[in-house]
Amino acid sequence: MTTLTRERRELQAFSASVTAGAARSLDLLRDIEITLAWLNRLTGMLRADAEFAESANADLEAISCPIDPDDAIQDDLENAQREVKALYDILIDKRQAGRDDRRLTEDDGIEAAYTEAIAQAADLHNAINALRWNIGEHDIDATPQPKGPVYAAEDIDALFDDLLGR
Amino acid sequence: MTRPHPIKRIRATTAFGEMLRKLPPEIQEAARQAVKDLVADPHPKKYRLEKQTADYWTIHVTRNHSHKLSFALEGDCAVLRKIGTHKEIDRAP
Repeated sequence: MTTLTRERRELQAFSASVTAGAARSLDLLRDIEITLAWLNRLTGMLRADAEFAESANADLEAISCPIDPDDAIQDDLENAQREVKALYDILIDKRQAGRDDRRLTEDDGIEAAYTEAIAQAADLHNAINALRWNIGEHDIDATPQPKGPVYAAEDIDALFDDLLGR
Repeated sequence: MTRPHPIKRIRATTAFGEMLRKLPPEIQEAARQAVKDLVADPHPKKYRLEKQTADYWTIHVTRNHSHKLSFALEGDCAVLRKIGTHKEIDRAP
């Protein structure tokens, strides 16, 4: 193979690469940038909210009185979990749509950005779950509880029947 | 993980009873069975016993991990503290 032939092949490969790159419309590139910016902003918000939930969780010990005597916070946090789960599911669907879009390449970073947002949504959801549970535990300790009857270990049916009013 | 002591007696907090009564009957029955299994084996693998703090433990009540209950140990007496939904999702689906 002569130097000229090799040079021609390299130039042809280079031309093909430039042609393929240029074929990607400017609109698509703009859409990618917008999507990445939106995902980065969303991921940042999810991370901040998860950190807030973790911080609130850590602060529970410092509070000695019941926090949620009417379960209103439990309900609100459960609703928040549902919303975050809905967002999580949408992000998974959109990531899959990105994977299926032949115009997108790995280098675009869209899939990685969706994956990061999904992980942050899960972290927030699970942090809220832990907070919700721990508020309940906290309030059990903070609320005077009558001792209630003690049952032998073999009398669990009696315990549950009494609790359920049967 | 440290195993809880063998359980010979059991009682429930008022909160546990209130929470239990709000749950669907199938979850109530799953909880009853989970507590029976806990007493029979203080470390029941299928219920994912977890030590949450120095004061209390949790077990998963249902196979799909939708509900958990927590209990404390006062000597050989298990004190049922709380039961409710437990929802965690995978961060790398």
